[in-house]
Amino acid sequence: MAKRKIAISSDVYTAILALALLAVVGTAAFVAFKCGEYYGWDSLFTVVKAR
Amino acid sequence: MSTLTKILVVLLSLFSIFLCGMMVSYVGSANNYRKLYKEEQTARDAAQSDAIKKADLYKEQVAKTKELEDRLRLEINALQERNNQMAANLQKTERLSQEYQARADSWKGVMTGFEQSVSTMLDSLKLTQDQLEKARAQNIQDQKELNQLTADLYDKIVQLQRLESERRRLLEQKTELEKQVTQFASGTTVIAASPVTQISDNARPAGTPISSDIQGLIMEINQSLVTLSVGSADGVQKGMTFHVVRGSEFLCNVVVTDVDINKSAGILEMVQQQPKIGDTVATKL
Repeated sequence: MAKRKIAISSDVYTAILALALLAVVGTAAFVAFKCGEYYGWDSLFTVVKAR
Repeated sequence: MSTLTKILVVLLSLFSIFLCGMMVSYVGSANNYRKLYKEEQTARDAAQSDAIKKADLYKEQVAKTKELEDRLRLEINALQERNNQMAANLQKTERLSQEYQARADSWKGVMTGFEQSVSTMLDSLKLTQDQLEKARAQNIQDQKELNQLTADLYDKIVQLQRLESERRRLLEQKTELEKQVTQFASGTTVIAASPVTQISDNARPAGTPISSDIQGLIMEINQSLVTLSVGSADGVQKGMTFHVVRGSEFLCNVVVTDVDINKSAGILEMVQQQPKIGDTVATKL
């Protein structure tokens, strides 16, 4: 079986994707933290009823 | 990997990073509405409690105001009653004042008449006093003249008594001489005539009658020395004490230190009041 040759450019694009993923994950974590901090951790997946 | 895939990877990555940045910036700058809500809720609770307290205080103040209003209304009623009473009293007082004013005016007229009468009477009194002073001076002068006449009268009486004794002696001598002439005519012995009444060489003026009550007037005053209108002709002697009176009031005593025929001088003693010219002096009160 012939060994697949991996080009260097594909690693660059993988890194770009990883960077994008990291940004998305970080953003989600930051938004979740802020939401939990502001409105409680119950509000992550439920809508807080008005009192 | 195809070129299109590569382009999509790059674009997707770029958009993802861009959107994530926007999301982060938006969330980071978003307001904490829950916290604001709690703060507003706390403020509202505080405002409600404050409003309740204010309402209670308002009710309390309203109650106090009502109580004060009732009390002030009662005081106003009392003051109005008092004001009415004082107005009635004022009217009564004004009426009395007018009556008294009328009386005062009438009394003023009466007093004016009295003042005129008193002024007239004072003038008359002054005139009468002047006349009295003149009468007293005239009386003193008359008293002096009377004393002088009395002294002269005593002298004349003495002379008259002397002449009477001389006349009696001469009559006796004449009778004796007539007897001698008769005897001589009848040839009897001549006897030397000797009058029965002896010549009295010691004929003296009649003694001044010493009256037990001598009265006179003060003629002159010089400090404690006074001159009296009575003298030795009235029986005044040195050392006699006269009482000076004015009406029924005792003024002082005068002790005689010098005596003349119709006047005498003395010094004041036991002075109760200062005597004046014209006051009466007497040895007996």
